[in-house]
Amino acid sequence: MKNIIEVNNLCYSVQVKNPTGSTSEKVILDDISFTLEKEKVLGVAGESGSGKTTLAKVLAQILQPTSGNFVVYASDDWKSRRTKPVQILFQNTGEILNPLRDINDIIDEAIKIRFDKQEYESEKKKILDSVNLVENLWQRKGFELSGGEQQRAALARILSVQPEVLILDEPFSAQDPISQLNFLNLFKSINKEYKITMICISHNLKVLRALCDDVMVMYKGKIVEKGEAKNIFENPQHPYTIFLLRAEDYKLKYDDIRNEIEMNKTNVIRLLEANKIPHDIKTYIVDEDDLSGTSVAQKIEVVEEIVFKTLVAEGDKTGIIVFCVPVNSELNLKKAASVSGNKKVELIPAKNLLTITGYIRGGCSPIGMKKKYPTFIDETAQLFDIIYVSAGIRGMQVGMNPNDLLTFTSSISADLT
Amino acid sequence: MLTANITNLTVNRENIQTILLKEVHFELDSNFIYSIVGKNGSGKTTFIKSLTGLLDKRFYNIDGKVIFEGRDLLSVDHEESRLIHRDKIKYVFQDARNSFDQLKKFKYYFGKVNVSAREIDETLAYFLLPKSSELFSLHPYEVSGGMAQRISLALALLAHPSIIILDEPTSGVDSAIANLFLLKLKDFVRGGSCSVMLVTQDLIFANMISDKIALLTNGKLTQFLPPSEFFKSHENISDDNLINSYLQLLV
Repeated sequence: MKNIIEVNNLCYSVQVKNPTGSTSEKVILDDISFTLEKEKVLGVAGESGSGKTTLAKVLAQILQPTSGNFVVYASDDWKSRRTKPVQILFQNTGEILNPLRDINDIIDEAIKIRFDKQEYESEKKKILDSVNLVENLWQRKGFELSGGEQQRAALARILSVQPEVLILDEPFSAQDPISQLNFLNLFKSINKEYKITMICISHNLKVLRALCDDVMVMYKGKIVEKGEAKNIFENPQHPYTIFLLRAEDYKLKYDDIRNEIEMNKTNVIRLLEANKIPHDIKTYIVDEDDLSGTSVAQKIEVVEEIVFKTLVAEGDKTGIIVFCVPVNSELNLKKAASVSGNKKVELIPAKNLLTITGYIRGGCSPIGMKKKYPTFIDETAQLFDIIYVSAGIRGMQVGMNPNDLLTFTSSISADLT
Repeated sequence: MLTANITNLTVNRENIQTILLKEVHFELDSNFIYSIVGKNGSGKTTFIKSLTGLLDKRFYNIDGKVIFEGRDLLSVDHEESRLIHRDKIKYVFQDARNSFDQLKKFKYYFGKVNVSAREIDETLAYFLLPKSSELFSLHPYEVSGGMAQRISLALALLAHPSIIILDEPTSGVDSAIANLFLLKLKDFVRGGSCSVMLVTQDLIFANMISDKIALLTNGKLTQFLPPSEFFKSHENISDDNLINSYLQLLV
């Protein structure tokens, strides 16, 4: 079957105003690429904030992508129509359906776009039947319907404009298992009957598995895993997919939950916020086998020169000292010794890192260490407006002006490499 | 620790009397988590409110007794009821954010619990909430729904009650947070002479958290059974398509 949608390197970001008045860019969709075959059902999984709904809005041409593009291979006559080929069934249908108009009217209006007077009565019946909205409800007004009936009416209205792709945004949220099963079967039959391609967004993996051919898992604006639904759920590869599956079965351990939630707010970020220091947070997927700084720079997509690793050393005179150097260079121990007033400095063994700093390898930040140690930052930092250091956990870097970092950590700028 | 014998709960609307609950009898024992499941509109919320006399007496009429520490919760006076709700039986409602007064900062609510600052901070840390120094200066409208839910449960726990009653604890929160609740509530009932009762339509959650589950359907409550027996019980499956749909969704 041929593709109906092709998405290439799609990005969407917004400008956010910081408390300090400056603005920074918040990336909502980060380099999304996928293809969707005609008449298939694609599931999009992920928790709140992963960018699922934004993706839907971009595909439905409600939002303009910041970069990248997508193609919808719709039949030609869409160009002459007033409606778009990709339609969304939104989550809060109750708020979208006009509460004071009857369902008849709402559906008529949409059908009349395409059909003559002779045809549209039969077309209307066909559509309302296919969503199981019984005839005595057609005369009712929006507010007189229950939540489930409103959802059926909204679906009928969308089907009336014959979209090529139907996006369902969290269609199962706030439903009990009875309605979930009802709607699951309804969507399956509509997919067959109308030969309509569907994208179903949901955090409920069990229903996605039952409904979809393929599934992609989104995490912080990126696709972290995609493939056949059965495969993804039986043999998940990405840690986040595994996390979601275990979360849904209520089998998470406390540490799993803490790591996931604290992801957005490490102690480092809290300190920066509390001191009103402008900063930029970048997250990346951790590879346990490659914690190198250069791979981090690559993952957060900045040049290596502005990503600084934090090294902890012990001097023969001063005890523990902290050094920050660019990830693409090495700490020169002689220079380190001379600037810190030692004869000799040695990096501490990795196993002592946690007890000394409170941080683990791959997540050591010069900010917010357990104790305050003398800190030195390589002088090349001063060449840039922004440099990145660890935000205190693996998987997150924080960028700030090097002078802010120097002042905040009472560090000294020195030649260390 | 609590014995409920409700023969009849009715509601009066525009002079029409409707029966909501009939012949509900059960006992809550220490160290257990009890779940009541039922579909939308089966009267779960009304049920938990009825237990401690939280329903508006102008509209609801309840016949029966709910005995807790030797007293009938349905006939205690206002002051005694207030003390019980303050110290002994804590509720966590579904719409946690709106169960706070929006114009009172969280400092007010945490000021009312009689525990050390350290215990408060430890509880906040457990629930991955901001430190008290930050949280106390916030108003309820300044936190997300999921955070309000966590704060609400934290406050309930800090009161060291005998019973915590929760209404749909998993609705409107990410499943990670629901996991957190599950872990903490299991800890709580293990820790002393206390128990938890919750109502939910999330059968996966009920299955994982409960020591005993009962089904509320057509105004009647089935017998409390351990989860494995509950989902096999012929009576539950044939009586209510909630359980049926759940089992089908699992396949």
